[in-house]
Amino acid sequence: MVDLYNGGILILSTVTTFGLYMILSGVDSPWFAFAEHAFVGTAIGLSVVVATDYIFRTIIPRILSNPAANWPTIVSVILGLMMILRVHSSTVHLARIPITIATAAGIAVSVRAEIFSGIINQIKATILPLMGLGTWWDFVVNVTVVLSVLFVFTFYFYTTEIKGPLQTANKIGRYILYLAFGVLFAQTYMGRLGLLLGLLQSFIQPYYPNGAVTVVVVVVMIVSTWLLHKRYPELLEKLTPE
Amino acid sequence: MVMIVFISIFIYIPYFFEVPQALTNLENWFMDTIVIIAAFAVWVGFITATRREVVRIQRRRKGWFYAVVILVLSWAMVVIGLGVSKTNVIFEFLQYAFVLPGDSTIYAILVFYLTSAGARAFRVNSLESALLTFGALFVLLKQAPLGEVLAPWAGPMAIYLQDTIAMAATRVFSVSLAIGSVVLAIRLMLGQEMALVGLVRRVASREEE
Amino acid sequence: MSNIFKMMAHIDRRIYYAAVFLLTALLLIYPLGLPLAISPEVRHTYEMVENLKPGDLVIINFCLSASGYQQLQGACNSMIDHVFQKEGVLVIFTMTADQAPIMLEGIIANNGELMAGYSDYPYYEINGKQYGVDYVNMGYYPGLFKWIASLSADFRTALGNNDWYGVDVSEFFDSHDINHARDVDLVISFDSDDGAGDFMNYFFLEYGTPVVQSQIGVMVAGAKVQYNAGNYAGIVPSIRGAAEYQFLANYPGYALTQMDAFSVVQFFLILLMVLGNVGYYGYTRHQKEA
Repeated sequence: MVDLYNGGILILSTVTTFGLYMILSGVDSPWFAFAEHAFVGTAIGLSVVVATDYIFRTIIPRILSNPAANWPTIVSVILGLMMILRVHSSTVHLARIPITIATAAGIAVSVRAEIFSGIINQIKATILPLMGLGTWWDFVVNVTVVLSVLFVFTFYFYTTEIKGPLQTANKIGRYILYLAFGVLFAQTYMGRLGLLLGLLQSFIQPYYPNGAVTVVVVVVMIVSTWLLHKRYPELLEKLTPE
Repeated sequence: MVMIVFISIFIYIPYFFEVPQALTNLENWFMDTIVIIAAFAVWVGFITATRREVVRIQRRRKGWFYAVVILVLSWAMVVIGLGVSKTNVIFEFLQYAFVLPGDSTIYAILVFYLTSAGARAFRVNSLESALLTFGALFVLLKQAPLGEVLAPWAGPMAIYLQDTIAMAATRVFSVSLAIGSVVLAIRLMLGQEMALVGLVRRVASREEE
Repeated sequence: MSNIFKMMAHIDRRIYYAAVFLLTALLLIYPLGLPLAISPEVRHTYEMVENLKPGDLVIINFCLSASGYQQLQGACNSMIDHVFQKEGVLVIFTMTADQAPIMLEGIIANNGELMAGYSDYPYYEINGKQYGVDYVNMGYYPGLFKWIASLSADFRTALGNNDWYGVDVSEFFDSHDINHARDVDLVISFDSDDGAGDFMNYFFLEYGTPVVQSQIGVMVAGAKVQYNAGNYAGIVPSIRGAAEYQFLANYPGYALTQMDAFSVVQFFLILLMVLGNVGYYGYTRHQKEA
């Protein structure tokens, strides 16, 4: 037998999942509205808890272990608290200090590594050997990569007039991008399909209780939505938010 | 702007040069501080969301009772998670019941829209659309184990497309993104992107525009 | 005949949705047992983990939301089980996504057993490895790349001494002499956001630490770019890579059992593309020309 805790999770998670799926039917449904709001509420709460827990678990013990030596951390916590002042218009100017520090430091930290991983290493990886290769196929692959990168780059020129050889390169770059988008679509589809499969498998198996509860809950949701549409449209109007 | 330049310099210099320990400590302090600020910033969103939902309830807007759902669940999570324990049975119950299935479902819904898009948008009526369609077709055949059995000829072509064409396009996106980030950082230091730090010049009147 | 083409050109999208649902459900209940080819990237990644030596320190990072976990369940469970099989290897679990802690608890409970004398997390033993002695769960850290940069710069301070449950685990770090980011021998990141990219920027580029990423489908193209550029030491792409890794690691369930549904639904999409084009050329194009 399924205990109350696991049974409750099973029922509510099925309501949440299939409530959200009701958007696919194209009809208004209070189940969708409930699932959407429940998810948003709990997700907000979870974000706050885990972020604040980090402060209590890591930062506060560090300060308490040696307040005198860890005075810079105390300054950091004060700056963090100043961030919360953003919620009121009279104190929002004080929140600009931590925002400035976070923005400036954040962008600097990411850019200094991006220069290597995003630019230099990518250019290095594009400079491929075109002679002295093992097989003709290696040559074809390397030439394709080098030329594709060059042609696609010409597609992103916005500050010069595209004419002559640049126009031909631009056109070829566009065709390469179309081919690439087809490939990316297929890879994205693979990813999203994997999500659906994992999700559905958890609701179907084991057949009892997961499969049974799923079937019952989905039938109840579909029948109740149909009844609201057919018999109680005014109630449906009230139950679906704008 | 002075603060931005000062902070940026003390992040870049220790990364590229040998510097005294004091400068390295300052760099570490900046990195520690931005993590702490990020942790507190979540509260700004939480307080703003609470205020918005309370206003919605007070004004009895259509569907105001769903605002009660958001408030009750979010505050229950915060009170139990911080006040009792984050491993508390009710806290974990709410995660398993709403957060995990909700998050999974939102992205899984895209499969249906992608299927519908694939059926409607992939029309072979020009060179561009033919390239788009055949690029997707080869990779779909290769990715599926059944495709490798029924259409083994698609595999080498799909690998070629993935490892050359798609990789080249994605590489160009990465380089463009990185160059854009560098330009943004320089513009921030020069005071050209002050909207990022919340300093937006208010327009007093239409004439001023 | 033109009615057939008209029908093909104007199939209600809700029929697509219902068909995808039904096909998926049916094939999850009645799998076909199709063969699976192993890609070189996944095989290379498997061999990297297989070649871990006693004393190696592995950071296993979860930058994974619930949606990503549904896709990478197979990879998460099989790769973690594989790492924990390696004699003498030490593991630090970290999380940079707020939904990850509860998912990791599920993985640990799935692959381990409660240690003698304990009744709850975190005291699980996985393949003989004990909590607090061979592995620790340091929990969630906000800030994503900011925290990873901070971890690279000041390892012990960024991690802190308390694990996710508030237990002091400094003994684990002191006894194994783990003090600096360069002590890390391998980073494995399960990503629906770019955690591995940040570990690459702040660990691989600074200390040469190899980084392995298992990522969701939309990130596969970008991951291949990094893998081909030599920035990533290994990749396990999406559900297909997860199934391949499970096959190599001889770990049943999850992605392996989903491959049949995965294949058939992708063929269904191809069929829809063909039907759509037949309908377009048989009906819509004639209507436009008329």
